[in-house]
Amino acid sequence: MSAGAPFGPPVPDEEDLYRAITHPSWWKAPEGRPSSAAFAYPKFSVDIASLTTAERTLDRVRHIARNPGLVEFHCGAAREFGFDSRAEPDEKYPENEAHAHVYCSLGKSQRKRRAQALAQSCAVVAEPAFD
Amino acid sequence: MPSGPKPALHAELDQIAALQPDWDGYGAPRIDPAIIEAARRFIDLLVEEMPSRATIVAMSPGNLQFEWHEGRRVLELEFETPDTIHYLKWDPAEKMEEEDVFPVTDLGRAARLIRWFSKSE
Repeated sequence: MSAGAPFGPPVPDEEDLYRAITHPSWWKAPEGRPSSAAFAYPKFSVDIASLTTAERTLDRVRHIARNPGLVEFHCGAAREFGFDSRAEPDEKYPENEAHAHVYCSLGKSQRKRRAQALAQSCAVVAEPAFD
Repeated sequence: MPSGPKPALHAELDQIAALQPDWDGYGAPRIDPAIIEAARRFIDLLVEEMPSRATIVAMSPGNLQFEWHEGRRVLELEFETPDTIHYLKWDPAEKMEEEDVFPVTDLGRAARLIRWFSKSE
């Protein structure tokens, strides 16, 4: 999974970002939070909350999970952890104007720590209900 | 009849092995069969060391990790490849944020990490 170089404009620090929880193993029900596995990559997709709604983001992944979860994190806080968000189109859903990519350029030696910090900073918007 | 966490962990692996491309909705590939097999061997060799609430988590690059959670305390053993484990020991109360990579064959190190987490239970 190659990250490539960021090319879009930076998402402002004050924005909140949505990340869908689409697989049961990504949700830690007893703790009520996502696994770091939802964030532990050099590049992943999010939606900018101010440009969409939670329902729209969830609807886009309902073909994967009937009742997916949704968490949000603060763009500026994520940037402090080493995750840089850029407003860039989604190759799969080019009509989604809220889409952004989050890039983590930190070396492998810090990747898991940063992903865990981001996972534990998330607020839950919608708890998933997997079959 | 087998008992304990071993059958449940193998059942979780069966489900992860069956995932189809784009299983995460973000374009993930299938989980690497060689990593699935490495995880099966790991379970068979270390199951006695495993707290029962370990979960196996699919990861979007096509690999997986074992996770243990107790509040904000976390242990992750990620199979980055069939031959290497990248671990995270995380406990904010102890200011513990440790990660490193070691060979899958170093079962002693894996067992020590699992015992570190188990002591909190």
